[in-house]
Amino acid sequence: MKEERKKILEMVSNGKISVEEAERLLTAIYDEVESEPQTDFRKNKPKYLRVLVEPKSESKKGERVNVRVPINLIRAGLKWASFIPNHSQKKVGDALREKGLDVDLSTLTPEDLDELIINLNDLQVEVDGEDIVKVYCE
Amino acid sequence: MIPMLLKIKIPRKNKQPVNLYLPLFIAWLILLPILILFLPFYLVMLMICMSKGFGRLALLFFPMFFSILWNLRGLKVDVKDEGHVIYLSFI
Repeated sequence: MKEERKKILEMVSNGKISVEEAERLLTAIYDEVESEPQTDFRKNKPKYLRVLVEPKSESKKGERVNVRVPINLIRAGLKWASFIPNHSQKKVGDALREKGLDVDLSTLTPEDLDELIINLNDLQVEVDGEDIVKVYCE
Repeated sequence: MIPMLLKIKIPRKNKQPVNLYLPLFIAWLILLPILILFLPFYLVMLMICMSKGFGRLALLFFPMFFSILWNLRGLKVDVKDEGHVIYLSFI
């Protein structure tokens, strides 16, 4: 990208292209670079969902959690959700809503999971200022 | 692919935990003939379930159960607390 930018600037200094044209070319290059990570992500589909819980300071003793779940296992598990009896689904839904999560398990699809994976780049949450919870795909 | 080994850690007091590898492939070798023997009974059960209205669940139970089993490879659970270790890894 650096080389391309240099070439465009050289062309401007040589008078081969105008400033407006150079601007358009540079914008096109930046747009291309910005869209690259997403295409890479789609090409290299993540295989695992990783959940890490670590104490905020390394020296501090505390609970450490390192869970790696294959994405395909989650997909397979999602299919089971449709077999949960209706009355149980309602109870689970109500419990989730109480916690502020409006999720209907019966309507979850593998496409929803894909969307979640794409949007879940690197989630990091601090719990009570003591532990750090990291959720990401790899 | 189906997991072949299950690695577990057994904690010991004031010592390093013991790594234990359980050969799951032996369990699969034992389970396979049992499943083949069970197949005719499953088909009978399926027909009964179809007539009772549970057909979809009975029909999809085994494929979905095996899809879970097949995708277990790579699952790792590692929880450490003071003096406690829970470690499971499907290899």
